[in-house]
Amino acid sequence: MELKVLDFKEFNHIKFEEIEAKYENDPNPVKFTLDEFKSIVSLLFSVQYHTPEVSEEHLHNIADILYEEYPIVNITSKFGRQMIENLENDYLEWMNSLSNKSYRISEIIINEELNDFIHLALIDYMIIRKFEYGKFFLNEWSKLFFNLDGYSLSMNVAEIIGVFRTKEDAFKMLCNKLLKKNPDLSGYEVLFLAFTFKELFYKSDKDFVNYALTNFIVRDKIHELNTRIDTLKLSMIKEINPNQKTNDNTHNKKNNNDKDIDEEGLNKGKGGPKR
Amino acid sequence: MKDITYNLDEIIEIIKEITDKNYCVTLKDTNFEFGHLLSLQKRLNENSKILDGFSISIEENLSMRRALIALLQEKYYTYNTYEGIEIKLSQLKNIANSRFVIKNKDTRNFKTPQDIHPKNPCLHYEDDINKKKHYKTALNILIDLNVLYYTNSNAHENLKSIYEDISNC
Repeated sequence: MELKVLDFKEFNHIKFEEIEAKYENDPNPVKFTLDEFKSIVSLLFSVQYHTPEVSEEHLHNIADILYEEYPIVNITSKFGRQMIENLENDYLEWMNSLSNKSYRISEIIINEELNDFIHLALIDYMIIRKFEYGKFFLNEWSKLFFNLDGYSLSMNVAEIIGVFRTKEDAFKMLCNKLLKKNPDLSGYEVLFLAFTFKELFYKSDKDFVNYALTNFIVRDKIHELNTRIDTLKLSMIKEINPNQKTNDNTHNKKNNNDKDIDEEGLNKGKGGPKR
Repeated sequence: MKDITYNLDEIIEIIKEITDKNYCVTLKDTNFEFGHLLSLQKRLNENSKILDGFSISIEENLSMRRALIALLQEKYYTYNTYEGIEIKLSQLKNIANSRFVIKNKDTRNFKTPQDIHPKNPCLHYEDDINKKKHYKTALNILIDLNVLYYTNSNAHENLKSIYEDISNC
């Protein structure tokens, strides 16, 4: 088998709550439009990837994914959609045949045939796609929370890039620095931030292990990372630009926490990026 | 949030050692290179306990269907039929759960070894082209990444010939 790397494409995502509102009063099973179907499958992919099992116990986390409550959690469904857009041959044919069937929206999450497809065609391929997912996640969460224009020239970033260029144990120095400045970070959080930093400012074509480990961290800890997002953001900001004010916008707002930093934070006031 | 079992320097050494091997998982950014992917995965597996202590589990996801196909192949590839063999699927499922992260445990449509990984698959699926296609797609990833799933190279060679047969019938 030959497996191509993902070709990232434009797509039209439709929110689950919009699809639900459209069909919830329909007494009969309904046939979704292709974009609705792909949007649902991408969300179910994220549910299946991040949830130990679809059960009552995990309902709260499942709802957070399905109703797209938090930007960082939505990254996985975006990646799932790219996998869907890249399906070929038998899997594409299988998806098209499933998209032509009718479903009850209220039972979609437990539809056996759909879940079989999601696992065989998507989740099982994460054993290979985990590298792309890890890289995608590092870049996407950075885009959500940090305005990166001009950072590459800030003194602090320049200094760390210089360390990467000249010191063999630069990654170790970065991790230890992160931990020293943020002693409450857990081990996987330090790594996650260090991988992010490396990807943003000194990525190389040798970073596959970073991407694989990012995948495993995010797969199992997405909800914990989301809960700790303010701490993670501030730890990164301290590293990117230590003069930045950190006493504002530290709460995790649903759906708009990506705007906080951009509008108020990093580019304004004392300590903005040095050009 | 802080865990107490990790040693940052130890894990950084592991990352550095694997990075220095310079595994190219993708080839010219177009295709995956399974040999390098498997080598990298092997290095991670060798350090799984240290990573576990760091709250990082490197067990891979696999659907119960593919996991059961792998286990049935591993144990019974020399048999021509499942008839007359006592196979406890519950036991196989337990083994599957201990080796892989299995989230899709739904096996309502797969009640017997013959449903899951049929002997004489061309005959078994002769009236259902779609099911045959799904079975064929279930096999491909197992064949390409055999090292992750099998310890038995004969079982793997045998699976390749099953795949060729079902691709041509």
